[in-house]
Amino acid sequence: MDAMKSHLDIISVDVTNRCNLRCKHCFNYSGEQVNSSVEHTEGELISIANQIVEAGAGSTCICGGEPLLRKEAVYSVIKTLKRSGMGVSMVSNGTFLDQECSESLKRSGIDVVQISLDGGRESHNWLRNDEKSYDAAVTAIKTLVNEGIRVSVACTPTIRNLGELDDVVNLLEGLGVSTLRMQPVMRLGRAKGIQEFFPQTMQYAKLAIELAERGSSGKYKMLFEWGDPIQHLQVLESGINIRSLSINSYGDILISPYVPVSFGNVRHHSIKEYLESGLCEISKNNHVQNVFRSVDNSMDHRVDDSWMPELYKDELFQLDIIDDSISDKCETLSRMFGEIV
Amino acid sequence: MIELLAPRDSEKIMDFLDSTSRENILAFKNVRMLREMIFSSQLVAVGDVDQKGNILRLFAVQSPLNVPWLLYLTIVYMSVDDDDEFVREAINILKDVFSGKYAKIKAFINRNKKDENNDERTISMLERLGFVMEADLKNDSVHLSVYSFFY
Ligand code: SF4
Repeated sequence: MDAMKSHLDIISVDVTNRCNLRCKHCFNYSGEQVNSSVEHTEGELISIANQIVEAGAGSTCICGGEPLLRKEAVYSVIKTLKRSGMGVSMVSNGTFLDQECSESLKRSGIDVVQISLDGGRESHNWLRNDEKSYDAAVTAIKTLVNEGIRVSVACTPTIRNLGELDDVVNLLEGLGVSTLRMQPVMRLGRAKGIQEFFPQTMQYAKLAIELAERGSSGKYKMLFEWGDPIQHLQVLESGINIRSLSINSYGDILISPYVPVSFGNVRHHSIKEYLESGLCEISKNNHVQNVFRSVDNSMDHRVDDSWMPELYKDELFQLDIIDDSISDKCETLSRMFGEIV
Repeated sequence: MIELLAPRDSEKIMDFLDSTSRENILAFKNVRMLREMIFSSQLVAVGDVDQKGNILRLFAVQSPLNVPWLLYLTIVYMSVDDDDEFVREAINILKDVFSGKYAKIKAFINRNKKDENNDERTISMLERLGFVMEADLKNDSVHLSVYSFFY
């Protein structure tokens, strides 16, 4: 199989939408209303991995749901991707990450595993709705580091964990974590139900300052990242080509997890075919730009003191850039999103 | 309402700047860059904001987060047409944002011969607010005055 030359930096693939947890802030309602009969089979996932290789993406992130609910499929996908030499990472809540799993991940060739840890034991377990999840996450980090796998930690700031940054940083530095990434929570999915627990503008600003200062202090081996979840939308609004894609657990191809539009499905055509049909250039389409702007403009609704957009759609708008008449569908799209602006 | 501005306010800040003369502005180039700077707290702005989120008055500083050896904040926007109380409150909010980590705020005034009147008004406003002159650098082509406010 010849890999095409594409300019895709990263493709993320949801190997499942099932999850053993029901986190209060889960932006894609993972674990709810899951129709596992339409989930990809292991064979289909391997075929998607091959499509990613063929599409020439720089790296792949294995996401979910909780990917390790499908351990065997995950190992196979990693092995398939690694044969091409690309970078492979995975996100996990850590619950199923025992010694055996760590060894298998290592053997498969994974580069980085991102574990979620949202503060101290009480704050983490509260957000994750599970009394054992903190201990599981910490154990997972230790197991992975012992296995020689690079671990990054994602931490969602809430008003419950803001005062715990010192403890979290010391713990993670001691455990040998390579990166601590914090980013504001998107007001999507279940997170809409806990808005009162999101930090306010002042608290976010202080957090950004604290992370930057720790990063430049020279005291830590660990890197600190303050991530902007919607920065890519701002970039896409300027009409530059798309550089990342997400494939959800039903095969829909999205250009951002926060833009509720599917531009194709890997069950209908290969990623390469979509790329050859202009998927990366779809960001130049006026109607699509209108969608970016709608999502982005929703930031300006001063409904409360947090600044993140509240997304209005929980269902995907289906537009297949190969099978559909783009102009017809785009008009519908514009009508839908036009109302929001 | 006087409040700390958020990344989502960037467009409103640009609208505000478009409605004023931009002489005092060093850091703003486009809305995306402005948003990025506010997100990472490299630029911290305080605004007087109406109910619709429109910005009526603005005070902004650049923080030295990406230049760790700098130990002061630098004013990038202040209007001499604003009343002293607004700026005083903005300075207080900034102290809270940075948890008192920076001991001073600096104002660099490029003494523009074309608008001496404005320079004089800026300096007298700074002095009223408690800024003191730290340096006055002069040569044939440049006249730069540096004023500092010590927390
Ligand atoms: S946030 Fe992650 S761990 Fe939590 S319910 Fe969603 S997918 Fe599962």
